[in-house]
Amino acid sequence: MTPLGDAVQVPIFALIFGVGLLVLSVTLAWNVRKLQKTAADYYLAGRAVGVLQNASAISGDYISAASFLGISGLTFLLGFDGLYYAVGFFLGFAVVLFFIAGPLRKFGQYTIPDFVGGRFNTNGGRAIAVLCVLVISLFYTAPQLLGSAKILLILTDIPYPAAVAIVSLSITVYVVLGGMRAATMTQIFQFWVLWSAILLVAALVWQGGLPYGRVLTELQRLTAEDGAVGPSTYLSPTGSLDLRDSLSLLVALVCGTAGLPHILVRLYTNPDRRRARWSVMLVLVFIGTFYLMTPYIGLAINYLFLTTESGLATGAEPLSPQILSWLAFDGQNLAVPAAAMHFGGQFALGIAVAGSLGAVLSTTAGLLVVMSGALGHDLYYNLYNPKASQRTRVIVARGSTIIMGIVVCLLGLAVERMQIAVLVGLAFAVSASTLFPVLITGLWWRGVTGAGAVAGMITGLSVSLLLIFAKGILPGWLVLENPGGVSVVASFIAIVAVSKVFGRVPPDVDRFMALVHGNMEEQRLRSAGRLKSRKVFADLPRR
Amino acid sequence: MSDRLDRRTPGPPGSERYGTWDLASDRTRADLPADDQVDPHGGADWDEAAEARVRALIVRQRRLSITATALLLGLVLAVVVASHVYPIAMATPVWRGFSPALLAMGVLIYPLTWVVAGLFVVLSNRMDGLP
Repeated sequence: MTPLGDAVQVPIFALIFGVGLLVLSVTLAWNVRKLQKTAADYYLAGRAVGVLQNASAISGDYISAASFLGISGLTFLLGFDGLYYAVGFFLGFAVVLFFIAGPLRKFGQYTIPDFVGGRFNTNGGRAIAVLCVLVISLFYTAPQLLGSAKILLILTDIPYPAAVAIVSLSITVYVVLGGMRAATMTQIFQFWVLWSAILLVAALVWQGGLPYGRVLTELQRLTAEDGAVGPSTYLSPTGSLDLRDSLSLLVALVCGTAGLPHILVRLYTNPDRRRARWSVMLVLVFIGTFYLMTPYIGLAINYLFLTTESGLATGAEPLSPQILSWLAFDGQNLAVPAAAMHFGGQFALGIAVAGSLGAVLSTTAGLLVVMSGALGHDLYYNLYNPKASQRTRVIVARGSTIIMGIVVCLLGLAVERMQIAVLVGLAFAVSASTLFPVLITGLWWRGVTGAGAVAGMITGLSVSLLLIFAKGILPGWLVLENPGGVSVVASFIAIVAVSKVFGRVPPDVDRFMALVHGNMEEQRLRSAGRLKSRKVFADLPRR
Repeated sequence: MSDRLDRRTPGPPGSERYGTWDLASDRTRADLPADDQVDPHGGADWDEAAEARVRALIVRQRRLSITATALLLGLVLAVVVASHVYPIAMATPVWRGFSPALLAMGVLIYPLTWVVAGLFVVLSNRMDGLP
C-alpha cells in the first residue's frame, strides 16, 4: 500500500522500470570505471563526444524533474502561466547557441571557473566562480531529489529520507566510478527513456479523445461561461503574473539556462566548436518537442479534473478516485503520472515513472560532476596543488564526488516541504545573475577587467539572494515572482561600471579573442584530420 | 602572469610557445602532436592583417548572434507585452481553440527557433570556414 490511499496498489511495472533504470545506470558506470586515467577523462569524457550523443546527453542533463513533472504540473495548476516556464527553459538554449557554444568550446579547459580564472587572470575570480557554481548546483540538485522522492511515493510506502538516500547513493556510485563518461552514457540512455515516456503519454492523451484543440476549446468553455467551474484567467496570458513579473521570470529563465554550469561544461566534451554548435542545435529540437508536449498534458489532465470534480459529462472517461487523490495530493508535480495512469494504465505509468527517474538521475549526475570539478579541479588543483599528477587528480575528483554526494543527500532531506519549480527558479535566478553576465561580457567585450568580473558575480549573487530571501523587508516594487529581471541588470551594470573605473584589461586580451573567435588553427587541425569524435559507447570494454 | 598560467595548467611538450594560454592540454586533446597546435595569436604567420581579419570575424559573428537573438526574444517579448496591452484580443481563440498568445508561446515559437538556429549554425560555421 502507498501513502496515497488504501485502494492504491503498488504499480509493479513502475517498480520494475524504475529499479531497472537504476541498475542499468550503475552497470554502465561499472564497465567504464577503468577508463578514467586523466582529469580530462573523468571531467570531460576525453573531449571526444559526437554531436548526436552530446545533444542527447545535454538534453538529458537539462530536462530535470522540474521539466518532466513541473511544466505539466504548472500548466495543470496555473494554465497559461506554465508556458512561460516552458518557453524560458527552451529559449535559453538559443542564447547558448548564439553567444556561448562556439567561443566557449574554442576556449576549452575543464570548468566554468577555469574560464573566469583564465580570461581575467585572477584566482580571486576563480574562487568566486566556484562559490557561484556550488550555490547554483546545490539549489538545482535539491529539487531533483525532492522530485525523485515524490516519484517513489507513488511506488511504495518508503519514507522520504530513505528515498532521498537511495537516489543520492545510486547517482554518487555511478559518477564516482565513471565520471563524465558514465554520466554521458547514462544521460543519453535516460534522455531517450524520458523523451519516449513523454511522447507516449502525449500520444495516449491525444488518442484518448482529447486532441490539443479540443482541450483548449473545452477549457475555454469551462472557464469563461457563466457558472464556470475553473478560474476565468486560466487560459489568459495575463493570468496570475503581471507584466513586470512575466518579463522578470522570462529573463531569469532564459539567462539562467545560459549560465547553468552543468550544461555549459558539456560543451567542452565535443571535439570542436562546429560540433558544439550542431549539438546545441539538436538540443533545441529535442527539448523543443519535449516542451511542446508537456503543457498539453497538463492542460488535458486539468480539463478532466475539472469535469470529473464538477460531474459534467464529457466524451472522455472521468478520472478514477485514485488519480483524483494523486492530483489533490500534489497535482503540481503528479500531472504526468496521473495522465499516464488514466490513459495507459499500469504499463504507461511504469514508463512515465521510469522517465521521471531518468530526468532526476541524469540531471543530478551532471550536477555532481560539475560540483566535483569545482572542488577537485578548481579548488584543489588550480588553487592548492597545481603540480598534482593526473592520477592524483582523478583520485581527488572521485573524493570530491563522494563529499558532494553526501552534501546533496543532506540537502535533499532538508527541502521536503518545498516546491520543485520554486527551487529551480531560484537556481536560475542565481545562474542568470552571476555566470551568465561574466560569460557574455568575457567572450564578447575586450574592455572587461578582472575587477569588473568579480564585482559582477558578487553583485549578481548578493542581489539575487537578497531578493529571494528578504522579500518580507523589501519595498513592493522589488518583490518579484523571480528576481532575475533585477539581479541580471544589476550584475551587468556592476561589470561595466567597475571595468570602466577599476582594474586593468588583461594585456593578452587580443590573444584571447583570437583564441576563442579565430579560425586558423581549427582549419589546420581539421584539414589534418585531427578533430574527430568517437562514440562513447565504443569505450565499453568488450568481453 | 605568463609563468603563472603555464605552471598551473601544464600541457604537453610545446605548449610553452602559447604564452599565457595553455592550448595544448585542454582545448582539443592532449595527444595532439606539437606541430598541430597553432598559436592563434603569435608565430610567423600572425601579422596586423591577421589581427584585422579576426576583428572583422568577431564583428560579423556578433552581428549574426544579436540578429538571431533579437528575432526570437523580440517575438516573445512582443507577445508578452501585447498580452498585457490587448488582453482580450490575445486571449480570443483564432484557430482550433488556440488564441494568438497560446499559438505563439505554445506552438509556433518552437519551429521558428529551429529554423533560426539552423540558419545560424550554417552561417556561423561558414564564417569560420568550417563545413
